[in-house]
Amino acid sequence: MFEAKLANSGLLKKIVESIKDLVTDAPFDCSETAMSLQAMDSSHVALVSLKLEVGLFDTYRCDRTINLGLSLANMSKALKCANNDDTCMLKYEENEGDSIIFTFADPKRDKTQDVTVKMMDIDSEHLGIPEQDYAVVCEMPAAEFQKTCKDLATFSDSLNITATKAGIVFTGRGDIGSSVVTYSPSSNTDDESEAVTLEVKEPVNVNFSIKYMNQFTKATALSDRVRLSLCNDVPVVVEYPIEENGFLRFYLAPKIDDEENME
Amino acid sequence: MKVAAAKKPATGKKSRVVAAPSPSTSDVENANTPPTKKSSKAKKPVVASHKITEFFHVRRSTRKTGKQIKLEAHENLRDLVLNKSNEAILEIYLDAVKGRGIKTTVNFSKGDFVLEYIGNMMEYSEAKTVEEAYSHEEVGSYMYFFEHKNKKWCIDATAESPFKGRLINHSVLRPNLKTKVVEIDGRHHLIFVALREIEVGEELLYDYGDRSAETLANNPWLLNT
Repeated sequence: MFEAKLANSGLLKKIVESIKDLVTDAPFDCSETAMSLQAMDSSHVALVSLKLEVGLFDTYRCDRTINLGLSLANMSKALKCANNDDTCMLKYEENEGDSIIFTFADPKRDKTQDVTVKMMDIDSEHLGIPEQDYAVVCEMPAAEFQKTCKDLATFSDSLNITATKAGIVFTGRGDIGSSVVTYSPSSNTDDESEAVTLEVKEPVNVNFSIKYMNQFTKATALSDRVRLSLCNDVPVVVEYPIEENGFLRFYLAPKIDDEENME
Repeated sequence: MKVAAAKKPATGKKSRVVAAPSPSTSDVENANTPPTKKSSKAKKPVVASHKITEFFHVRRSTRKTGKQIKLEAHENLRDLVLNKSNEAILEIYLDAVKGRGIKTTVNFSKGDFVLEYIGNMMEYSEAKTVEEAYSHEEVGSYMYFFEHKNKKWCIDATAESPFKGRLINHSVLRPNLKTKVVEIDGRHHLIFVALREIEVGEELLYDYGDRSAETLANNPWLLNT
């Protein structure tokens, strides 16, 4: 059997809301140590990787590794029943059919609500993500990254990121104009949560579809900070840490260069 | 009182927005000329991205559901039985006392399919008539009686055939095979399954199971081999 209890339903709500427009089906892999999820968007350009470690849960019990397939739309419906402060218990019993029970409890009012969601067979293709030494790692406030992507999207469909030791530049260039946002690594470290940190081993210059980036930034609610890991010609990683006991990562394949396109 | 200059953002961010010049005339011209290959391509600026699977490769899940494993095992057995491929890996040998017997040229693991007992499948009543006839002709009986789904059946392999199942000798003391009835594509087959690990060169043996007083009297070896 599988049983896991989160102190706040809000966390799961935020996770589901931030990925449900990108991926439709969620094959949750539950093991003794973590509940994780890996799924690609329908066009196979982006990959979502979620990991919720045992430490995030009030209680966690998973007797053996199991795969729980859920539709994110249905999961979202279930979670809409919960208040953010309600505790959220996920329960799956092998011999009780193919459903997952969400139990939301409001301790102040001694109220519980059971919501049962049918599971689904998901033909999941698990991707092996190779170890990658990224040339550039940049951390910044998640809200800042969200605004930058949003601003760029008004001008362009694609996002260019260049990073050197001098700074990181986000450029959106389109028919009506362009937006160029430059961050110089901040020397002012008064407020750590506001700082933009940049580690550059080698300069990078990469292009991505802004549409996906904007979808990723829906996870801004999950975390104050976002970390971008970049290398030329490999997918970027946009990572939102979850309370030091997990993460929500988005991988995005680079845009096909115009020169490549011509060939 | 002096007002402090706008606080320098901690991030050192600098934002610049540049308006592009008005659309070039060439674009307008393009709109009037019949669509060429190039203009149709430029029509929609869909950002083409690489596939994530070009970078991360699909790891075929090695985990299978119990149902899947069962199904695959059955498919496998079906092929083995219908192709009769195991006939070729078993050899006939001659024993001074027992006559012909069967030895294996490969190893088998416990539970492996070894061979099918091939002959004429018949219902019990028909088999009894045939058996009666054989007893008058004094031919050795190669009839195997068994039950399947509460019905008695018999496979008669008395007639000489190239199939080796009929030549496997009996042992009640140290058999290495047991018989099993399996259903394949709606028909039932009598097969031999390895009772334990069987090594190359071992003689295949199973318990004929016939314990009737009459047979035992005529064939005392049924109990002591």
